[in-house]
Amino acid sequence: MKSILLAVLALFAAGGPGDGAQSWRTLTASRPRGNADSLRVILRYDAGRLTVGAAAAPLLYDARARFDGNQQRVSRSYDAVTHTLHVGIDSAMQGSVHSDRRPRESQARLDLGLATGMPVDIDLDLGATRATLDLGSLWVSALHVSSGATETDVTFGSANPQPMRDLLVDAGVGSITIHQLGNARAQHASIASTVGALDLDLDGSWTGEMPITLRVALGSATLRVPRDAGVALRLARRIANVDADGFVAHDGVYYSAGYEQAKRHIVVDGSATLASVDVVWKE
Amino acid sequence: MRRVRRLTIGLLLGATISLGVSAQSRQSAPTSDAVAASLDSLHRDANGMTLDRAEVQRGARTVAASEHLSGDVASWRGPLEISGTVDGNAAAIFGDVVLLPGGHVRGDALSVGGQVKLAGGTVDGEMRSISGFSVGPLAGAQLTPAQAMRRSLSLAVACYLILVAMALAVSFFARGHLETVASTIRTNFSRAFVFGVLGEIAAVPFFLLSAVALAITIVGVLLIPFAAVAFALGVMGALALGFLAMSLLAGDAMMRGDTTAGEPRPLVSHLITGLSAFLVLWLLGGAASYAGIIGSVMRLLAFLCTWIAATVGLGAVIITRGGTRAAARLPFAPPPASEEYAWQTPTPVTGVAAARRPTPAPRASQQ
Repeated sequence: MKSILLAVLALFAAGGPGDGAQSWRTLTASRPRGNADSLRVILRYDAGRLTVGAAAAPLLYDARARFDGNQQRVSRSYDAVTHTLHVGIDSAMQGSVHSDRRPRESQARLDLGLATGMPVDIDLDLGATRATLDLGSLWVSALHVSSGATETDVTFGSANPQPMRDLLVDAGVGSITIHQLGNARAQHASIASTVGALDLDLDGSWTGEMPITLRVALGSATLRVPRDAGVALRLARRIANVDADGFVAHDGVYYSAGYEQAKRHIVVDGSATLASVDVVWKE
Repeated sequence: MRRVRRLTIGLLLGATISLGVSAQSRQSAPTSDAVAASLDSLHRDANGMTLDRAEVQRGARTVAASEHLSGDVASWRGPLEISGTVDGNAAAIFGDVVLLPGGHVRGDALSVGGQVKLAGGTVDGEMRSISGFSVGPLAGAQLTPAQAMRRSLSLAVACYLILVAMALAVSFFARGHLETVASTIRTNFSRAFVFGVLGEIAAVPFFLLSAVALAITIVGVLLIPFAAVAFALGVMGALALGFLAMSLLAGDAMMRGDTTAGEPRPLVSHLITGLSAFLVLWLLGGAASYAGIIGSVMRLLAFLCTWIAATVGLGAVIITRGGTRAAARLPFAPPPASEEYAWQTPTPVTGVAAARRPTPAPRASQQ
């Protein structure tokens, strides 16, 4: 009977705001640099909009989050010994059933600013998000991006002060665009895209050889290559199309015209399965 | 009758007053429970911190330039202004943390419901602002006895007032249905209980089967959401009607001595009296929150009584198709005695006076 009465109460309360009402919360967290000489960021973000950029000069990090307290949880922690910042926003809420969950999550957002002038390792695990990473002002020593259903836009607006140790992008469903990847100065870049569109701009301030491992499945990849660079494509094709006009095949490797004479080289390894790969020259 | 009326009015007044007091207590000045609840939420919040109760001051708090605190400092419902040095953390719960010139916090600075403002001071640790707690105060078994009692009483009184409103509506607009259901409960109590239990058990499978049947056609699929709402409303309406019928019978039993034979009974008074009886059960259970296991037993007792009443009522509603038809008589039920032939009843030889055969009143012309 108690449950019946509660149900009756719920009926009477149906006109007012109930548990289904939005409960927007905000969190801001920032920390001065102190004696930190590096920073490692581990971020898990499963729904909403995400931006990553540079923080104001005296700060090690500056995080600003807006989320629905009824559906999401935000946590952050900083380990001063390892200089590691953990930020997590997840929607694994206990037993809440809301029919309009997606619209709310799309209004959630996290803006994360990171210290400039010191090496930063960034490890992102993204769910259903729209992510904009403006890494131009940062010294990114390593970047790992693993995404589910996302629309991700990464920009390396200026050259990394030091070569990036590792760049790994594993995109699931959705689109990912990387601007001026050359500025990352990655010693090795591994980029994978499954079901979706991949747009790689290989321009930027880099010299020598840029090795890239590329895996594309059920989608398309567009490589935008500066005119002064030579390109070597060694892709295992499985029902795939590689549009590389002017390339010359030699021992299973496609070389762009004038490859030997080019001042800098892009070497692309990997595979394309049920996909198309286009090479577009930038002037 | 007057006594019962007074009791009913007293219960209504008491209910209203207790609701008012309960609401007032939630808005009143900070209580120690509220501070403790905030500290607990802060402790369990992923972005909070652990503070000792002794470090929290109600209202605004100022750390003067000459002060040097070795531990944490916190304010509750007021700003925290720091001009001195704090070796630990600084927190303002529902207020701002303001670092004035010379102010120095070596730990973290946290504001709940406000901001951390650097007005010339410094923070070595993290500056953090959260608009509210991510986790609420402790609930359920972890409530203090006072909080549990307030909640139980408020809930019982609120339900009671809602049922009283429904009782008034039913007594005016569906009196016949209510009387039919009540009459069925009176004559077929066991049968109504069995039907009620079966109805409760079969409700969900019945709905699922209906949904499957609807899903056979495309139009039916579209109707499923409407059917779900209609079904839920129907079940709740049946339960409410049945419970009110049981309350009416309880009221009849309690007011038996106050009703004059031949007069129609005052339905509303009897209904409210019956509902008040159930309210008293729940109030006793709620008030016994301090009594530990005894309180739990009393609440269980109240729940059982209420559940049985609702189940029997639901069964009677099912039997009478919502009070639209009288229950079929059981085959073994004896026919009711008729007053017309009562005078023919055999009488013992020992000399009990026989009933007098009713005779028509003499006509005026014969006198």
